[in-house]
Amino acid sequence: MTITEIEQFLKKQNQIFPDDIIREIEQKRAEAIKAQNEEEANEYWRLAVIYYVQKGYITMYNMVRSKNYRMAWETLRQTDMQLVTLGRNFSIGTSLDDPYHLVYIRDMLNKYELLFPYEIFVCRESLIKEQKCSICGETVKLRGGCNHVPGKIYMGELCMHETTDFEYKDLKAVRDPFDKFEILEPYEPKEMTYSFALLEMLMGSLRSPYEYWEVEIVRDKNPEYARVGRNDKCPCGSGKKFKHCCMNDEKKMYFDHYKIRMMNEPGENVDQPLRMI
Amino acid sequence: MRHISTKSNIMVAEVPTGFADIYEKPYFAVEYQEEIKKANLLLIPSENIREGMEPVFPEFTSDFLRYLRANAGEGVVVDIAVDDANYRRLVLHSSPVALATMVVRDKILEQCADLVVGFLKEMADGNQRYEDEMDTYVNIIVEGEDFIRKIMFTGRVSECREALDLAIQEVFRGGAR
Ligand SMILES: [Zn+2]
Ligand SMILES: [Zn+2]
Repeated sequence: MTITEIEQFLKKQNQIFPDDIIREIEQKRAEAIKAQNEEEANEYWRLAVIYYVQKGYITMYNMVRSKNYRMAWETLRQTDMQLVTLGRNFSIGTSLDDPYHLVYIRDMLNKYELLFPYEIFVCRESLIKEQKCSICGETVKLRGGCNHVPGKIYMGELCMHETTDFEYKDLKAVRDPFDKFEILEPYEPKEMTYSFALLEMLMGSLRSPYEYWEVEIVRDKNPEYARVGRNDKCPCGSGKKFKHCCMNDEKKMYFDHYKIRMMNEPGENVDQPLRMI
Repeated sequence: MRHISTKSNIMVAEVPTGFADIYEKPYFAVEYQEEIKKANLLLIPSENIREGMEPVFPEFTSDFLRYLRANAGEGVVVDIAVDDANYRRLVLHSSPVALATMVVRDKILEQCADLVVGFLKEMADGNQRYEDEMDTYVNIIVEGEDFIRKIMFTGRVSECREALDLAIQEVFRGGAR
């Protein structure tokens, strides 16, 4: 397989990712590294990551389809990280120029993320004491160390600062961590079970992972309060006038719901039945 | 405390600790003192953030220091107050991106603010996050001829620029609130 053939493959909307393609890319990358051809080595690194991002996206989609939500979530986070790393080294394109569907996949990953119900994540607080550079193997120093920048690629390899000495401090549950990797399993299944209704609904309308869809958050008035006059008795049963009771309570008056809108092409708003919950 | 918006706060206060006090701290890297004392933008660790915890830096300090060194303009000398043995980074995974506390001379405060904003923007772009969805903590101790004041910002990255500009006026007006 030539580089052009690999590119041709990655430009298609693939749903199956044969192992021999990635083996081919990895072999070419190894050869380029051996020949110390940095430009080519980096190019094969790029193609490998594009392959993994596309494959990750499809894997996530199939996992959501088969209701394996936990694994789907982890795949989503990992694929997102790979895209971020790719974006630090190469342009991933624009919505108008997106030969490898990377911009599309990034947008979709963000949308899927909204539909997952996970809210609380476990974070391990730790103290980093020493790190090594994955490119040169040197200990990372504040003064006079190597100049390799983590997240950048050098001769077809990604630079990472690997922690070689650290101390765990604490396990914490947080609502909005920087990296959403570890989900807190519900302690009390009854009180806090995650609902995957939105993802189920989406899967009911999608025919292919490469379709376009949008999520909209719509704010609606609670129907219970829709026809109540200011001076009427409040429907909540408090005995007070509406204007002195629930009328001032946004949480009771309104509720958010999601609409998923199917589209044929990006930006195109096709008349399709709106699905709501 | 001044509220820039419901999502951000900025505060300027008198503080006792300036450059000379840092040089006396137990964590101060004496072996590099000649170099470190030339710095007018110095990163320092946070002390006592938890009972019994050694002085620590926030998670992204290495990236911040690299950015500062690479982008510091003329007249700005960047350094960090510790050596490798005392360089401890606390990884919290928390969503607000906390920056290491900076101690700066008043004449480079404007440049310091530009560097802070530039770094946060790069962080947001590099992680494909939007500036109005990302939170940050910024602490800058400013030392002038006859004052030491601390700027404290917590809030949205997108509101940091405006908040720091307000704080800079406040620092030079001499008022502390
Ligand atoms: Zn290195
Ligand atoms: Zn009521």
